Amino acid sequence: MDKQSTHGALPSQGEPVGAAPPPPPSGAPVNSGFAAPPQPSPMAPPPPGAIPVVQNNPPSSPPPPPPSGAPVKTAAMPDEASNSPFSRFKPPEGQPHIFQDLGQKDGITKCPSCGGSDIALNIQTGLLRCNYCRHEFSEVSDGIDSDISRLTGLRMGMGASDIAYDASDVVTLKCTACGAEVVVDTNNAPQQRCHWCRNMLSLNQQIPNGAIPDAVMPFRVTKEQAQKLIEEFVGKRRFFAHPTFKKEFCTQNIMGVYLPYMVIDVNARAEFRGEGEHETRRYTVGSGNNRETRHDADAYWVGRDFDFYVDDLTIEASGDRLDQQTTVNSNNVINAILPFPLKDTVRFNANYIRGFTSEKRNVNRTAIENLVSAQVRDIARWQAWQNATFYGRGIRWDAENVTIKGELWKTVYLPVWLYSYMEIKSGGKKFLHYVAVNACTGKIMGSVPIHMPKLLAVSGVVQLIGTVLGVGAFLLLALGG
Amino acid sequence: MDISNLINTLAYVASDVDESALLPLVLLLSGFIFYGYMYTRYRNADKRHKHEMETTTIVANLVSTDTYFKSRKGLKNATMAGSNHKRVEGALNVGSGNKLLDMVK
Ligand SMILES: [Zn+2]
Ligand SMILES: [Zn+2]
Repeated sequence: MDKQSTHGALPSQGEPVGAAPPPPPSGAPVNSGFAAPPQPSPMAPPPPGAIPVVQNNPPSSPPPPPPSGAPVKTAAMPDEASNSPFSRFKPPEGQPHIFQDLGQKDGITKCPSCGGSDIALNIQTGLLRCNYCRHEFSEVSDGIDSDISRLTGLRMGMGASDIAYDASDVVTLKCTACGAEVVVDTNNAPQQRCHWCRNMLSLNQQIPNGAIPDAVMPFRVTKEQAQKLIEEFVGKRRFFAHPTFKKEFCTQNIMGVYLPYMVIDVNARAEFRGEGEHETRRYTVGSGNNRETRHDADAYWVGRDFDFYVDDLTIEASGDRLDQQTTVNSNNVINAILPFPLKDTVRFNANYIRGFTSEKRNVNRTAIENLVSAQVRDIARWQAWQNATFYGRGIRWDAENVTIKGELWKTVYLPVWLYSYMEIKSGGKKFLHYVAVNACTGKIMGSVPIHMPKLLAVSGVVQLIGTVLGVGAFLLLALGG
Repeated sequence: MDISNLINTLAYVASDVDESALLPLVLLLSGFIFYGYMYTRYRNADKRHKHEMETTTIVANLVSTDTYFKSRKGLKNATMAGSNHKRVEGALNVGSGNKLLDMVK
């Protein structure tokens, strides 16, 4: 590392970064009252008594040193960031722009080949299949997408707009085949067979009760495949599993369920300021039993400013599923099977969810906007780190400014296979264990009830053996020294 | 008992001891480590969607500033004191992520 390329007056160690003076204009003499920078040579001899053990390899791609004389951005940072960790969310001006898919039609979805209306999803192909002539076809992709880098303000799909709690769950559709009026209860399913002509009537147009999402991801993993995955997952966790669970475990009753999610595209800008450390040397000091590892490091003011475009950030849109406190439920394992390949979603059509359970969305944007804000900041922080791995010892960001310039929200039904098991603990306390399978990717995660007496007993034996060996190891070390 | 916290604490303690003392320490804590490992393997309470790295994201117009200002010698820790570059705020299964929700009951 070429130390000669450093610039500016250097604040003394320990000085809070927020108080760091801006470096003088380039070329200005370094005599502004601050301590002169230490200029250690890269070949500086190790401290007395030091035994070099590892000389770190130079980083494969160190940040390019600023060219001599080039202006260096100030390390001082705006202080509003440190005051308010959620400074980003100045709500966009005015009303959100809401997209409504006007191509959606209620009533009979007709097979394009034979005109039949008995249509369901074929999981093997992910396509809709006519149960009469076996012709397969697909709904068009959901059409709500955009160039994220040009996204401004708040935009929402119709399915993501606020739920009108006074909107009726019951909708009356007129059968286009025989003219009868058919009632559809959206709490159960947005489909109902006409009692007179047996045509299947679907509610596809969105109504303001949150029952119809903007898009749906068809099931691609069959029940048999999901059963096999779940059996393998639990099979690897049998030894300490609760005996009652082992006796009752059976995957026959796993449930295919469409869960509601908010999917958000975000156009944002990040400005990070802080201090990073790059290790230059690692060595051992002392001798015998008192040998210890030491590290030398170079400290830098680090800044990373960038635009970033987040595609399909995915958040649960059901109050139950958002509760992921692991002391009371195992919803976190359903969260863990994300992400889904959301480019494969299609426009909602009730035939896709026929035969599956679906959960109705009951969460509005405002309930989760702080969560989205925090996750967007997490993404920015991760990306900043991906572009600053030179600082292998770490970075302490003192200012994190993340500004969201545009966001697009839509609701999507995503397919999940769920195995659930209610554990009744000794005190009568109940705990619902899930094993969840992502029905697009096959990613699996789960919670298996533990037989605590057995785990504690085995842990005790392990501890006993470990203690004996550990004491022995200490004695050996002491004698060996 | 929050197992992931216990494991984190153990990992933190272990990261700070000298390497030569690591083996005896692991042996002396072996029962706790075994319990924590098995509990996590069965219950998976630490698992979550790693939104920060699993969400498709494109970075553009990056401007980097890297200004050397001093060298530090003889540091005992392998990682920088106070580093927060891997901090995650928006996880619902750990810490105070739940407080980010504004749920109308
Ligand atoms: Zn047909
Ligand atoms: Zn009819």
